[in-house]
Amino acid sequence: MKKNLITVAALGMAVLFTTPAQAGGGSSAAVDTGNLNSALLVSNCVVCHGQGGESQGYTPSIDGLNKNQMISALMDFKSGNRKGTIMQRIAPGYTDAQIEAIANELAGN
Amino acid sequence: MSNIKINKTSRRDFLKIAGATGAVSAFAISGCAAMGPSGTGPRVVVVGGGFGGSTAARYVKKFGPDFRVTLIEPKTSYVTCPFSNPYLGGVVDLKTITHGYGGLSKAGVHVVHDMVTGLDAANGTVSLSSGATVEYDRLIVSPGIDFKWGLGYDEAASLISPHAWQGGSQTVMLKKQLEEMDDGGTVIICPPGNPFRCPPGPYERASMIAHYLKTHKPRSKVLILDRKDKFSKQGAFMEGWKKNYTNIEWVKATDAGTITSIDASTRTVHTEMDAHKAGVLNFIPNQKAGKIAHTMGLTGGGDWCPVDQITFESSVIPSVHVIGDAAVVKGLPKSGNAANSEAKVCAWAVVQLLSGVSEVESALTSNTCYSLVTPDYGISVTAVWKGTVEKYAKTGGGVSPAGQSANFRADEAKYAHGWYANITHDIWG
Repeated sequence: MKKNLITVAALGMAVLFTTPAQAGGGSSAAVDTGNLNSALLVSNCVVCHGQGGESQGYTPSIDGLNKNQMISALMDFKSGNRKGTIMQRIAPGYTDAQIEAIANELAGN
Repeated sequence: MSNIKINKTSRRDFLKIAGATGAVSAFAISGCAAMGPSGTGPRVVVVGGGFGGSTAARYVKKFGPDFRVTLIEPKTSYVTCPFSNPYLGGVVDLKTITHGYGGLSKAGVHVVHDMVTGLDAANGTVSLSSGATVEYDRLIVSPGIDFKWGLGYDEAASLISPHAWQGGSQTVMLKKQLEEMDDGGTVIICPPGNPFRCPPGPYERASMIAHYLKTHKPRSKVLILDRKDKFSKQGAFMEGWKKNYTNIEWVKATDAGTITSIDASTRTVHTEMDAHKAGVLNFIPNQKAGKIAHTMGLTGGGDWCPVDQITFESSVIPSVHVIGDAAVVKGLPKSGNAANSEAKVCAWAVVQLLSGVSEVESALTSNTCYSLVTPDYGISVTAVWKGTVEKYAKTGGGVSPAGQSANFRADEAKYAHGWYANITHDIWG
């Protein structure tokens, strides 16, 4: 969490300190920094590929891929050069920067 | 939120004391009965141990390891709605779709098996049926669904002809009725009107029941009397039905006519133009947010809970977040995977807000939904959405394409099982 907070701050997000009672009230001021929160991005992958990319079932495990292999696979699915059953539908939903953030978080663990 | 004293009395000790003195209500009224995990980190209480709540509890602990997280859920084991249709079709057993809470306890979540009866937002507490109260700095509620009884179909009727749209005894009852039905009987499924939990669910159910009938009762069929003229993954389902079944008939709302009443005791569906008698009747009522959402006042008088689209904080009650089927999340379906996805975004937001960050970054969410047409024929729909203040805007996804090979469909069926194994491990493992 701390690492990610620092990342968010480094991206230029205004970090205001407030008490929990002051925060909220049902109207957040959303900050759009390109959705590069890698912990949340990867949390989408694990529902099919397993925590840390280690699959509990038929879905392929992806924990053995290094960063370049993962980026290459996702970019190929995104461009349509590689066909699976579902990944060529999912990959175009992510920006190139998000794909790199996913690979940074998940690959080579 | 008042940061009042932390009571380190364990739940067991508290109940022992309360039981010995009969002072449960006195404790609750005094407002000082704080039971929960030890430590000094922010207190997050999660209500509801389904896909949304269990995920939220686990991920708050993951994103905020020093946080004190309590999950309150009455049931000691949870039977999922996802994969309840393959259970009806005889593809998986009940054990496969039943999950306990041991994994969450191991992950550091304090699990309390009790029923939440009320919310005191001013004091930041929830009350339990045991009489105790639990304090929170932020509350996450995952209420699930409740039914809009009517047309003669109420809770008592559901004990004769099950809706089976909540996992557990209803699912088991429906399977038993299918097994007991005479060969030649008709299974009538009445899918609900929009919006409802799991849009492709009624049609996967028709598929899995047709599979069971094809194998065990070849003279029987499935009749779907719909309250809509179109449905989720319709093209993919229709293609699959054409290839695999002659025992499914889907009648759209326009042709079926408005359903005027349901007689559960005679298993009859009355429409404005006809009466249909079933061997097994599966009427799925229209839906609204789970009861606790209404009790807590989180619906603002409506059927569902309006929330901030970035943090999932209630638009009605501050410091209370609502996720899952009960929340109004514009763009996302009411599904187990969407609840899991929302829970993670909400968990992140809650940890940020309680760590002093007032502006939370929007996030990407995703949903992957497989349906089994047969045990070896799967179809899917998936989407990726970018969160904005107004709604979730789709950036990718789609339904599995038509005209695919048997191998492609077999792979999608296998990946359906893979999805189930991994998402349930992510939540309860």
